[in-house]
Amino acid sequence: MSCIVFENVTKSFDGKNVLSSLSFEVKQREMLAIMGPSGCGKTTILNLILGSLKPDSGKISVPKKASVVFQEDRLFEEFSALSNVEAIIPPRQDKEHCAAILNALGIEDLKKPVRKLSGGMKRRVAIARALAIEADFYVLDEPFKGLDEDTKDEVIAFVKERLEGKTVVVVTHQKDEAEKLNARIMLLDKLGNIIE
Amino acid sequence: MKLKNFIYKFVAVLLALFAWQAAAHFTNLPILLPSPIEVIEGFFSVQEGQMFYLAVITTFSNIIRGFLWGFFAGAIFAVLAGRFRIIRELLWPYMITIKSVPVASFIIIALLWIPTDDLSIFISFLMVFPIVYNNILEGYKSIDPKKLEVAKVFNLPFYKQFVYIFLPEMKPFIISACSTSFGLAWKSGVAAEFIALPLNSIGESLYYSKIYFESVDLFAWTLVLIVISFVFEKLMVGAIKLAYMGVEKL
Repeated sequence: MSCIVFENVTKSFDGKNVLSSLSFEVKQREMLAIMGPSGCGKTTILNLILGSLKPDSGKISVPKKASVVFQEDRLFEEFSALSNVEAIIPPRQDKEHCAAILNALGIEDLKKPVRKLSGGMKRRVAIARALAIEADFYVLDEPFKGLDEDTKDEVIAFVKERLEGKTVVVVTHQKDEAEKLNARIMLLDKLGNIIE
Repeated sequence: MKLKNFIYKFVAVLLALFAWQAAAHFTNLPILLPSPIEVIEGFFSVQEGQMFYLAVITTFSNIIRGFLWGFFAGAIFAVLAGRFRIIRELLWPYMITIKSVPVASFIIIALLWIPTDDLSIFISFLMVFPIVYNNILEGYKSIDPKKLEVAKVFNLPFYKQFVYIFLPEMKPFIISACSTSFGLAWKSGVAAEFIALPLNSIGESLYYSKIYFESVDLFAWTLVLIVISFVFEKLMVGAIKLAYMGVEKL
């Protein structure tokens, strides 16, 4: 059963076509990795999935509740790592797992303001935030960008474990990241057409 | 660098006091220009008067009430105007009028409608409202749309958006609004008292010092106003920063 469906979706900016009649689907509980050169429309696809952009034509069908790792961390910089994660937990829901997720991702000082963390640590907080809620689907835009090579594999393994059996769309430039996540790869060319 | 700035400012104040002392010495007419030493002596002697604290409390409480009304009304209308263009357009003529009409005209006009005891509350409100409105509206407009997208995607309720997005993004605008508008509220509130003459107020004391040619008292009361305004403005900005630190520790 399909969870996310794109049917003949076209999107252009300033007269320049970024996506032309793009059609694909992501099945329930499937992880799809979108890959392709810079400017091929990967982030545009994610923005269309999230509803931040509307297609010029075509039809997009997505479930309601998303959880996202944005390309730029988009954290609440003045607040602690724990506050950032707890902030998105709906009212009256258990927040105890938030600290555990942050710890598992290597964040020890949960009370330190995020602005004082390194780029790699901020990325982990952004990942923890996305993993902390139960969503209908997950969108990860270059989630492992900026992580140091020594610990990246641990983070990938943790993300894979947490998102096992969930519907996930991940954008990455690294084929090995997609393979480690065990994701189906959708490769786009420069013009935003699906190659494979 | 901070010490260097302090030294520059200290020397500038000393030079200004020296120039004032020299001018007072050469005119030798304390009724027109008392010397700084006489004014400082007057600053302490007015505090010995029976009505001093009553006047300070009356004026302070009126102006602070006007300030708080203006601040909260300005902030609420700014957020509404940021969300709904129609509110912004509807408020525009009022804002232009408040900004363009001289404060003295407002005081005289308001005297027709408002009891003298409450006039300084209204005038302070009127001075604070547009400054807070404009500052917070600017702050609201400058909120990073990407942060708002986070709120939308994660379906954050309004109170969380307020705490995690609006308050931090608008911090410099709120501090600037408070700092600027409090000084203006203080000045215009006392001007209103000077014209309306409510009982036991600083404005009334200034007025009687003027008509009885008690220039030293006139200058001393002015110094009292400057000290209270300066101290309270610093306390208020400090309190806002402390409140922010409390919120950020959530």
